[in-house]
Amino acid sequence: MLTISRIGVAVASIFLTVLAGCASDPAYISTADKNLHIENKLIESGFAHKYYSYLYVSEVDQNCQFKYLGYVALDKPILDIGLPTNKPLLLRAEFATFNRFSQPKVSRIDTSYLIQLKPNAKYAADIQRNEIMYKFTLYNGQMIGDPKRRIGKNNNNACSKIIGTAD
Amino acid sequence: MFIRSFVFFVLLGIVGSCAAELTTPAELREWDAVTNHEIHLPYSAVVQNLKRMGDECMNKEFGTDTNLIGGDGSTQYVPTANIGPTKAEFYTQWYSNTPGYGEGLQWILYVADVTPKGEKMTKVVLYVSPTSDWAQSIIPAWGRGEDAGCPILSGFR
Repeated sequence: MLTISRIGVAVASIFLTVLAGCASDPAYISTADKNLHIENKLIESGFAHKYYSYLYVSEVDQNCQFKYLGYVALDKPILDIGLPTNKPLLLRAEFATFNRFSQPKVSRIDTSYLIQLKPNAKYAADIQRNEIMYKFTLYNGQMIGDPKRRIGKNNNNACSKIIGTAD
Repeated sequence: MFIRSFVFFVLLGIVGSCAAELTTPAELREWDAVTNHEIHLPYSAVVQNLKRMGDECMNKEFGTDTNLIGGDGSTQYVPTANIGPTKAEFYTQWYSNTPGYGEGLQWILYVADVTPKGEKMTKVVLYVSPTSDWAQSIIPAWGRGEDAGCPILSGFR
């Protein structure tokens, strides 16, 4: 009985690690100046589907090499984090779904920004996900929804081609 | 005998429905699911918006790894934009390279035919395949330049 319990715990641990995707990765450690305000509107998990959303933060050097800084679990409606300024960053939002009754059990899709944030500036992220759609939009300033302040995704950037399917 | 015939026709129906996949813009244009949209923006702006969002949302590749279909491989969504001075077409097709599940072009999701209607107005004729209902509202929103997000695509249909 004890063995079965241990096996059960082990299986559950592996399962949760796979689901989390980044459980073995470092959580992102925010810089002091919280320059990114994040508003999440995410679908709630149910019995058949569980939804996980993360923001992955990486630095990008001149050769498009990435230094992974960590993940932010998008599990609260509002988050404020500090990101490094004056250096190119890759901000990648990932939306994962665990499907209890279908194959594949876990599916993921992501979208990203290559961006260099300015010192002393504030930014906002609008992150939404429902059953059929997802969205990750950055804004200059901390007001979400103003089309004039929406930051475009630079898909023609040389690094974005190296990123490939990230966006 | 009746049961055998019943099973045969059920199987025939399944095979028949699988064989009737829509794969090209021309095939999808024959489909009944067409809607017309007028967008209060110049043709060049609508075309630019649709191109940008198609590249951002629909250019996706997925690795496939499952025991059920007997092999690893990949699937890919490929957006296409054919843009001319007075008309443009946008569509996305789905390719599979997964043994046991299909190889090559498998499916087309939508076609948007775009034409100018005066200097400040643009007409979008939208054809949507039966399993891509999201496109009915999202493609026009993309054309209008709205921040409508992207559809959740996956490696499988």
